[in-house]
Amino acid sequence: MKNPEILRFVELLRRRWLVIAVLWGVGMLALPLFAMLAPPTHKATAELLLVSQALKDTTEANPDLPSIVTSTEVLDRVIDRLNLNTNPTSFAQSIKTKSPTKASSIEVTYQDPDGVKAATVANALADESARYFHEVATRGYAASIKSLHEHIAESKAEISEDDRLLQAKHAYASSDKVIDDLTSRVDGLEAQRLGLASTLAADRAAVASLNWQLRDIDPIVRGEILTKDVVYLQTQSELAKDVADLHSERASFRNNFPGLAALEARVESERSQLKSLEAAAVKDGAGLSSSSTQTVLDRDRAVGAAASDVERLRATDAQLADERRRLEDVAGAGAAIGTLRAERGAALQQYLNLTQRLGTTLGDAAQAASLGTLVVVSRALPIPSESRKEIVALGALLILALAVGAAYVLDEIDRRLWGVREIENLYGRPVLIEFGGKQ
Amino acid sequence: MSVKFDLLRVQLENTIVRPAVIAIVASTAGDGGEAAARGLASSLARAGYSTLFVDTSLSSHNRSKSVPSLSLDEIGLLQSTPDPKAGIVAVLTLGDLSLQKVTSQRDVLSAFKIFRRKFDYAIINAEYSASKSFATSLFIGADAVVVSVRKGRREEVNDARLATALEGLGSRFLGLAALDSAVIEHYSVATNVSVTSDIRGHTAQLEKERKLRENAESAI
Repeated sequence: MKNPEILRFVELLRRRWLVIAVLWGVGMLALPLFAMLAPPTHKATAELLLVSQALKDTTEANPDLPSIVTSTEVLDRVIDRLNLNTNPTSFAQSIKTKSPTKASSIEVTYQDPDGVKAATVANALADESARYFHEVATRGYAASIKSLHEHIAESKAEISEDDRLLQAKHAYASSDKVIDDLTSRVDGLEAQRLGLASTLAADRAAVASLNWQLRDIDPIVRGEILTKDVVYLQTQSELAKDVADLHSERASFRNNFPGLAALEARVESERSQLKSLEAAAVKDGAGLSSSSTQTVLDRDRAVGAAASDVERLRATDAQLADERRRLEDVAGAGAAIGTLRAERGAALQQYLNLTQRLGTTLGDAAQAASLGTLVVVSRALPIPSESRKEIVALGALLILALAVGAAYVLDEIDRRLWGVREIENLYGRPVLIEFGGKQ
Repeated sequence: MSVKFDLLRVQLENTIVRPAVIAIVASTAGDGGEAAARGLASSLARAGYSTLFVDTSLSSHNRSKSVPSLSLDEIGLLQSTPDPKAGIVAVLTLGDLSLQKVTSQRDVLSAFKIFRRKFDYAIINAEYSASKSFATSLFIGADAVVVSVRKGRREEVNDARLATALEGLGSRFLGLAALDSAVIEHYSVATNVSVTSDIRGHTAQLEKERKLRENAESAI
């Protein structure tokens, strides 16, 4: 059985073929002119696909992908990225999105007179949409994850430092030989110090003895020296003579003799000279006897030995103090290792806590990212030119459709009784016989 | 084309009881009322029914001069022995508009009584736009009414008026006959050939047969 609607359409074509032919002919004559005058328009389409675990759950509603593509944020980013001289409102008017119902893909089409620019903008829209979608899906977790990574890195560095210190402490304190060596060296140094101290005491005793001896023999020594010094003796005699003269003169002419003051000054000068001579003579020791000279030499040697002993003792004390400090360090190494181990344990615990928190945060972020990931599965290709033949072909089809539509409208407003339906509607009774049209 | 009239005839045979007067009404001239009536009358005659075709179309007035026809008064005097298979049909022309306009409802009903008594079927065509009163008298007195419509013509005011007038007929308004121009032109001329001039013998034979039938029925 033929469909009544199809029969009616065929009847319409038969009845209005002239109208359709005329309209289509006029349209086809005007179409090339329109195609020549109309500015070329290029469309570029990129396709995005939502890859999501949640898509397997049919109860989950898909996110509104067209709203993301045409969001102000995405449009602003594309405008900034490509330096487009437009605003988001007018920019959005050139964008077409097509997303089948309950489908996870979306087509983004951009229309522009420049085919290359159309493809560039369409691809930029796809890229920025995918990026923005990812940001929206994981917003709030990126900062936390970054902070946790930083803390974990610090914790790892702290653990590594503790490990290094522990390794050093272990190397230092793990050998008993080190302690034994240090102890023996301290003991040796202490024995050496005792020896030095006794030597020093002996030297000092010798010095004291010799000093006593020299003090006893000092007048003798002086006598021995000065009695053999001619110059000293002469000066001494002159001094004595002058002193005598002085006393004599002072006694008789103290107040009347004007040369007294000069004489007194002379006396003083000579005394000073005499002392100098005495000192020089004593120091020179030229006239000292062999026994006295030996005593002095012994005393000087003893003093030198004592000074040397003091120096050696001081060095020994310093060395001993150093060894003792090192020994104390060795003794305190155990406590330091314990402290380091405690610190390392705390750092490790902190590290584990941080990694656990990171895992939880990553899980939350993954759950938040269950909206899916928007990926660009098809990029728009630059179209250098668009064939006008396609425009003409599409236009021809469009004009034909319009002509048929016009014929349909004309048929609707035409009150002529063309067929059974119109006649039956007019009289409210069935058509018993019909001639023409169906024969 | 006659096949389609045969289909219409079969539908009428199954719907109405003989003898019957069937009015073929057209809302306007050229709507094919005369052609439909001629085609139906021809089909009935070929089927062996005694048939009267009453042509009231104004255009048939001139043709009536060349085609043998009977006056209303002559119908009762007809005597003939027709051949049922010969497609013989009696023709009564009433193409005078003045006469139509003065014909009363009572006259129409009286004439229909005669028609039923003399013929199995009387087919009458009428143009509603020419004389609404005459056409109305015809389809009121008729046993069945079929409206003839020419396809492709514009809808007119008389269509609505005729449809309104026919609403009161109920089931006696059987339906419609949709004709195109070619069919109308064909039956306006060609069917005249089948009309015999020996209409008198045909009607007399029919009357004789009818009386024999009535006697037989009364004897039973």
